[in-house]
Parts: sequence; structure tokens; C-alpha cells
Amino acid sequence: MVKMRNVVKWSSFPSLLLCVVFVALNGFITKGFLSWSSMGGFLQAIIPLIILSIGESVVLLGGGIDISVGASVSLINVILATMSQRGTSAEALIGIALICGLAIGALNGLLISIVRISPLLVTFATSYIISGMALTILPTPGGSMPDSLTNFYLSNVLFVIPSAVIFLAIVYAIWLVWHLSPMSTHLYATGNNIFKAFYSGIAVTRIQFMTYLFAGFASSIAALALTSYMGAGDARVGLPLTLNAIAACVIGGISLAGGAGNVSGAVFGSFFLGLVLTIILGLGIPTYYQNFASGLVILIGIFTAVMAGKKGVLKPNR
Amino acid sequence: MSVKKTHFVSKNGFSGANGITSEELKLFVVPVAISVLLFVVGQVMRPGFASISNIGNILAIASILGFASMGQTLVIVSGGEGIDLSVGQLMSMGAVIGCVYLNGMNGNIALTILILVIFGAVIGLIDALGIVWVGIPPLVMTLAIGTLAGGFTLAFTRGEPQGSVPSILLALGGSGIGAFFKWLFVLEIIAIVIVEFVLRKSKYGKALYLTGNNRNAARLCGIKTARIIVMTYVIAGIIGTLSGLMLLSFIGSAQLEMGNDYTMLSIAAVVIGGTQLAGGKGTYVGSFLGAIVLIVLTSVLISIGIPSGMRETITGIVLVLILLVYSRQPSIRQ
Repeated sequence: MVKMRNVVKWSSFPSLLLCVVFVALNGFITKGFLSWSSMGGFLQAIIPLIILSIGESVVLLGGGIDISVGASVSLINVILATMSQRGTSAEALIGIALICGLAIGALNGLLISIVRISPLLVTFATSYIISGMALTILPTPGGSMPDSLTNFYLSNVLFVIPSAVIFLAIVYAIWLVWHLSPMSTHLYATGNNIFKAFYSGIAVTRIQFMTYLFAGFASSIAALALTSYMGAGDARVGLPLTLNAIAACVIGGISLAGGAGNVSGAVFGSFFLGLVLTIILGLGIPTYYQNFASGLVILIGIFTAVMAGKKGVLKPNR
Repeated sequence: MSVKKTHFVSKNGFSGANGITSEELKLFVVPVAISVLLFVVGQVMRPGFASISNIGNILAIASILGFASMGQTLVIVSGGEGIDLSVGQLMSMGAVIGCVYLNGMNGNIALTILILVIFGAVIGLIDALGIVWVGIPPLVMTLAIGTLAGGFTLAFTRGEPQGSVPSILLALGGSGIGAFFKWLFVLEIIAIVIVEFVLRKSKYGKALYLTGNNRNAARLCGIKTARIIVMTYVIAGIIGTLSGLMLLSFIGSAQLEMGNDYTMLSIAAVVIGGTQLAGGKGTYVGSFLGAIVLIVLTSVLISIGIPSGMRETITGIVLVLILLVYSRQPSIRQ
């Protein structure tokens, strides 16, 4: 039973519980939700958000915040859609997405870790710059995506696993490499108290910089997934994603103060957000009430998760 | 002018929460200088840009942003990572729901204001409930409340804003004493005087600065910090919905999401105005000066024909530059 107690004390446990409850609810409410094909469709729709929230969670663990991730997705999305219309190959598009994402991450990281401006303000300002660029490149929704990428994203590998999962696996694998290295401790230490971490000999500047680089990388993969899913570009597509990614992290038990939580919590958190939307569609709530209803359920989710974390029953980190 | 004022005030030794310090006045020099520079640039690029009537218009628009930044300033000063990401949605809500209750009749104005005050106060209370008692970070709480308010507005109107703006409000938003002093600007000046007075002279204002500076120390001094923070969010909620009414009087008709841009703009205005995100420091005059900078910048860019996407990018670059000038944190190596 000791192991069971560990699971219950896990900081991601409330979000996992929320997910299980909502999957069960969905099974009752949405017809055929638990079928394999419908789960695949659900994953394809929700995976861009999951990837983005993984990027956001690493930044939060390092004691920062990145509110430019949604704008980055928009920019990469419109760049991909317009370049693809001009006949750029799929391989080149993947390269371009990665370069854009890493460049945005490097700019944020530079201004925050080396120039030392508050993360909220920097990413706030860069999100203006980035979303303005997206709007300049593609003022009205349009563009395309190579069939090879869209078909791949919507297909299954090994007959059963949706290919979309591969996008998620790449980002999670890179996080795992980080998590299993000594850098993981450094990340949590920096997020907990940057001064103490500095005096313990941790290269805090480099750690901070790398969290934003990782968030930029996650944005580029999320944008690739989203653009493959949509097959088109829209300069405003990432707007709600920032908020959802941060909400997913908070529901997943990651502290905005830094240094506490677990990346898997962000995954469960974004799953929960996706499940809420599915339930509201499944219940057949009229269109005009959907935003209000989903907002209400998400707020209740945040209340539950934060209260569970505050009671002190959860382990503060990892 | 500003430099002279600096000397004057520092000689008289105003300090702390009782007056505007010379340090704060120095912070005002940057936005004032940028605004003047932008007016000159605008006048050179498009003769007539710095005409009295155009300046009056710009000040009127800046006043709307000034109102939106009022709650934002209080919330940020209150500290504890305080920030209000719901102002924009509250403004949309105030404008759209206000328009329904106004229904084009001057007699409905008082009732509408009362209803909006109640709406704003309830929203502020919910904010405070989550932030103070549950411990949800303000960023997340106000974000969620903003989404909820947006959803409520959509549900309330079923996607089609109704009603119309009565003549008194239209006059408030459109005319003024001469071409320079638009009514909105006059209202903003009155608001500045009241808010600065409250911040510096009232018990609430002094407690607010202390709470923002160091919450634990303030609590140990016998300040009921929880009550101060609840009051701040309630005031911010009320100001949010009422600012929507200001916006409505200026635009003249209600649209869903008409105020949503003001969330980000109000934060930018507060930051340009020299208020620190850490809390405990800041002035409302500064926020209004920040609002003027943002609106003049946008007007210059519009007048020389720059498309909206490019304008956003340039605003972002200007923000980064301003942050570089005076928002750098001390180095870790200290």
C-alpha cells in the first residue's frame, strides 16, 4: 500500500483523477467516445495543445512564464501555410518550423536570462511582435499544407496508433532526456530559488535560456501538428492556446511560482481541457452557451486542482 | 518642464506614499518625451497630425485606455503577482450588456450604471475568492474569469448585441469643451485627481502600497491585507465594466469582443507608466501617460498608412525597447 500512497500524493494526481472522471463521463454522454477511432480523432485534435503545455510547463518549472507560445504557433502556422502554397517540400517545411520556433525561444531566452527583464513582460512584448508578423504574412486565413504531412498526421502507424502521437512522443522524449540528466535537478533548483541555485554553482542563466528554447521547440512541433491537422493557415489560431496551455499546467499541479510540479501533470491538464470541450459538444448545449459552460467547468477544475495542491497532501516536487 | 518639476518636488522633500517622489517624476519623463517625439514625427510625416483637434481626439481615445488601466494599476500595485487579464472581456461585457439595458433611453443610464457596478463587483468578488482564499495565482484566476465573462456576454446576447446608445452618452463620447478638452479627457482628469488622492491620502491607499510592498510585513503591522486585496479586485471589476460604458459611448454601437484588446494594452500602459510588476510602487498618472504613448504611437502608424499586423509588431518592438531602458532586474551576481 505504500506505493498506492505515493501515487495519491503525486502532484499530478488531481489532474489524473479529473481526466479519469471526465473520460468516464464522456463515455456515457458522447456516443461512441470510447471507440478506438473516436479516441484517435480526439487525440489528433488535442495533441497540439498537449505539446504546447509540455513546453510551457518546463518554463514554469524553471520559475519563468511564456505567454508568447500561442503567438509563436500562429506565426509558424502561417509561415508553413504560405510556404507550402508556393511549393516548398515537406522536409523543408519541417526545417523552417524548427528554425522559427528555436529562434523565437532564443530571443525570449536571451532577453530574460541575459538581459534580465521580467519573463511576463518580455514574452508579452514578443507576443505582440510575433502575432503582428503572423498577421502581416497572412492577413486572412488561407494557404495549404502538403498532402503528405496532412495524410500522415491523420493516419495510423502500425495500424492502431494515431501518427499524431509521434509528434507528442518526440517532444516528450526530449524532455525525458532532460529529466533523467542532472539538469533536471538544476531546473527545479532554479525554479525554487534562483539565487540559492546560483550560489550552489548551478548555471542558472543557461538553465533559464534552455527552458525558453525548449518552449520554442515545443511551439514549432505543436504548430507542425496543428497545421497538418488544419491543412491551412490562420494568423489568430494560436490566440486561445497560450491561455489553455497555462491553465493546463495549473490544473496539472504545476506551480506558477516555479520549481514544483511534474510535466506529466500538464499532459493530464490539457487532456482534461479537451475532454471538457468534448463533453459540452456531446451534451448538445446550444452554441451560444458553450463558451460559458466550458469556462465554468475549467474554472471549477482549476479550483479543485489548486485546493488539492494547497492542502499539503501532495509532494511538492517531481 | 518635467525637469524643473523634479527639482521643485525634491526640494520640498515629498516622499513615500504621501506624494509623488522625484524618482517617480523621472519615470514620467520617458513617456512624456516619447509622446512629444511621436507628435513631432507625426506632424512631419503628415502635416496636421499635431493639430489641436487631432490631439484632442488622441487624448480622448487615450482616456478610454486610461480608464481601463485604472483597475490594472491598483491590482498590480497590490502585489502578490497581481495582474488583471480580464479587463478587456469585462469592458466588452460592460459595453454589450450596458447597451441592452440602455436601450437608447437617457432615463436608463442610472439603472444601467447600477447594474454594471453590481456585475463588476460580483466578478471582482469571485476573483478575490479564488486568489485570496483558494490561492490561485492572479494571472490564472483573472484569465479564467475573463474567459467566463466573454462566454457570459455571448450567452446573454445569443451572439447578437442589441439596444442602442442614448444621446447623453453619445455626446459624452463624441464632444467636449472645445476641440481639445473632450468630455472623456475631462472625466479622465477628474479620475486621475480622485485616484491619486485616494492612493496617497486615504487609509486604503496607504494600506494598498504597504500590502504590495511586503504582504507579511503589512499583516504584522496590523493591516488587514486580505480585505485590502478583496477591495482592490472588486474595484477593478467595477472599473472594468464601467470602462466598457466609456468605450460604448465613444464607438456608438455595441459589438461582441469590442474591448478585448484592452487587456494587453492596459498592461502595456501601466508598465510604460513606470509601475513595477512586483507591486508596491506605481502611480495612476504614469499609467495614463503610458496610455497616451501607446495611442499616439498607434495614431502615427495609422496616419502614415501602416497595416494592422505591422503596427502590432512595431508596438511590440517599442515595448521591448522601453523595457530595456527601465525594466531590467538586478543581476543575480550581487
